[in-house]
Amino acid sequence: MSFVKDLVTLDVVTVTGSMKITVKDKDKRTDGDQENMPDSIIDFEELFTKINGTATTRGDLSIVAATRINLDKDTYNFVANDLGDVGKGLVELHFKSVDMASKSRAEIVARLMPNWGRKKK
Amino acid sequence: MSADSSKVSKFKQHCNQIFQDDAGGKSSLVALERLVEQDMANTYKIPVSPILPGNSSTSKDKQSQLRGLWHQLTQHLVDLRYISEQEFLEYQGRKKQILEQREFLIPIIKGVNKYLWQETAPDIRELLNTYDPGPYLTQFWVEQHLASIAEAISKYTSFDGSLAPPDDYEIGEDSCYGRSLAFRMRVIFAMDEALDDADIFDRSMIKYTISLDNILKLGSNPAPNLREEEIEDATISAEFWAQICDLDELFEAFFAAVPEKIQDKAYAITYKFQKQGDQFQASDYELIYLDRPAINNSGNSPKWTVGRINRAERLKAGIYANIACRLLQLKLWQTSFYLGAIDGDWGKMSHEAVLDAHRLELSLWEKGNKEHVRKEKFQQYSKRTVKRSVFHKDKKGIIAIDLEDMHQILQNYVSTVEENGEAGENEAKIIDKLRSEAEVSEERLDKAILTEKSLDKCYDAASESPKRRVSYVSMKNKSFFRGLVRGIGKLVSWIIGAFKKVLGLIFSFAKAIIDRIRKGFQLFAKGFRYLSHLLLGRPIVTPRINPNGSSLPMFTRFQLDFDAINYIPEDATERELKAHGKTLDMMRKSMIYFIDVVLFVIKMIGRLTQPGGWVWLGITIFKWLFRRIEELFQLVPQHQWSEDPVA
Repeated sequence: MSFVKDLVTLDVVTVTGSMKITVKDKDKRTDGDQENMPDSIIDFEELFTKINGTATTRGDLSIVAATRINLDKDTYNFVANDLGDVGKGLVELHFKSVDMASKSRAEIVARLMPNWGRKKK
Repeated sequence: MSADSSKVSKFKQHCNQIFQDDAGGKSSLVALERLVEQDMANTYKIPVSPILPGNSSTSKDKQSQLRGLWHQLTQHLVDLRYISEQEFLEYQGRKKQILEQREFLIPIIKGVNKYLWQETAPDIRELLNTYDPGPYLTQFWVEQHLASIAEAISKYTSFDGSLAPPDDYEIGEDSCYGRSLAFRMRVIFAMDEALDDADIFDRSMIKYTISLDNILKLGSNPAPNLREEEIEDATISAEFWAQICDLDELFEAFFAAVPEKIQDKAYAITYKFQKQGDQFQASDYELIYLDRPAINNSGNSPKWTVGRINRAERLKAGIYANIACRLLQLKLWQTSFYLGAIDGDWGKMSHEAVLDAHRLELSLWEKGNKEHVRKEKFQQYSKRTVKRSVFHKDKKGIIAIDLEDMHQILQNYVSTVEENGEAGENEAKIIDKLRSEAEVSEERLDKAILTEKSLDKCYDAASESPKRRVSYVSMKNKSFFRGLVRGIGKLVSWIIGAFKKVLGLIFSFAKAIIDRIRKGFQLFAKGFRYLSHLLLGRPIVTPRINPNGSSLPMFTRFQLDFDAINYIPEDATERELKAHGKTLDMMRKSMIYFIDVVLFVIKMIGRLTQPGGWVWLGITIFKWLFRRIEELFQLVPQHQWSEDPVA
């Protein structure tokens, strides 16, 4: 699988704010018609772009914490300093997902690579 | 089944593509996901967890497939008195409509609610912690987890040794164990109406456990020589729990505890009966004994005759006959020959159950099929011994049942004796036997078992016999399928449609197979969904406790390289954060298992070489999954996930 190329770094970002499902998408989603479901109710590519650049300009999302782990295990953490009362819970959840992501990735690579990474000759 | 065979082909095709092609892999995964979550969920009647989007099991036609699970659950609920007998009878009368008219399920859901909050088993606690149902349990929520709930509660009413003694049980507590103990005492020892009326076991009932212990000499007397005022200090020992949960231990205790004057003598249960058409009436049963050894010089049981029955000594202590009949009724129920209430009331159903079991055993000998006969307990297990185990004269209306021999015969079908071999081995063997030796096609086998249509008559009969109870074979019981090979002729007849009436044995076989397939595929589907959501980049969602219009729930979305983004709504509560953390935690802990499951199953699919074969595949998956879980967690699985760290 091609995702092996992306395994050099591990990035985990935690955001908070309010995101709404558009009326159109919501209507489609609740009618139970799987065939006509929208591809995605959230445009994740767009979401990432906003985080990297202009998310705060719309004022609807802000970054709680971000972590980058390099292949050599060098780790960079960013934690926002204005998190309020529930901040501790948010940060805990962030680091839980970092832990989950790194362990899961190690396991999945170890197990899937011998089978799924093999090319046809 | 042409649609199903096409599903098999598609499944194989997508699996092969995933292995072979990077680009095709992802699109195949999407198609495969649809097959797993929709087609296979329908075929195997899997209630799919609602935690991830894409659940399609909510439409009415799919809900109707849950009927059998609702029935199983309801039976356990009434036995444990989470619902009343009256509510059970009302359910029986309306069960054809329950899925359309949800209000009929309200009392059942209340019973489920009460049970769930009393259940301490880790899998149910985890289920409640992870998928918080909120303050009001809904039919939807229960249906999503119906298979897990029905399996978890079944151990409290089974007598196959699958209920482990509790760590901390206090007499009088309203708990699953308190209700289970009351149920067991009612079934084995209802000598007093007070016992029959009790929902939970309390201190006023200790005297019955003491009596039972004294009669059966269990040696686990909870209150030996206690004076009245010391009853407060009595406890139920782990030994007593183990004995009262294991029917074969109770039988062994009974045989050892009968009065000395009949020990080693030939003894039997006897009663007179009158049969006219559908009418059947039996006189009170008695335990009689001959002044002859239980085993004669030739190694056989002595022969009973009308004269010997009439001349035999009667055991005056009627309690032995009562307990003997209850234990025998329970054993006949456990082996699916009897489908009535376990109440010591020996009527037509009990009578015919004994004759059915006897006839089946004799027919095996007549056909010369001695395979799988368990010999170790018999001095000489011969056709003569089998024939003599039940003496029966219809015209004279008299019967004598040799209790020890009958118990041994029934042991061939279900026993709690520890069996060698791994979970699923015996299931796989009988499926293989049906496929090869019995010349039953895959397609026919799949149709008979998976459609459950021929079991409908059983459900119909239930509404006419509200006290009817079906025995559900525990996942842990490895002997059932081994014993079932003995009844393979009946199974084949059923599969090829020669049987009009569904017999208990066949019903139990089909239910047990379906339960295992469902369990296996449920685990597989869950694992597959997590993995496919990871690989497809779909978010792991934790539903909001109080959904707020269009606002999005909390989610974590992983990319293929495990880069992750968490979204937390700005008004998220601590409880929601905790719930989402647990979801992620469960996912991490189960990751190895998930991947192994998916890889294994994908490989197994590749071995389907002809149309049909879903049953075989389901059993193979079940077999492998249980072995894998045991390896991973180093224990016999009683639940899907473990708190133990993955080794």
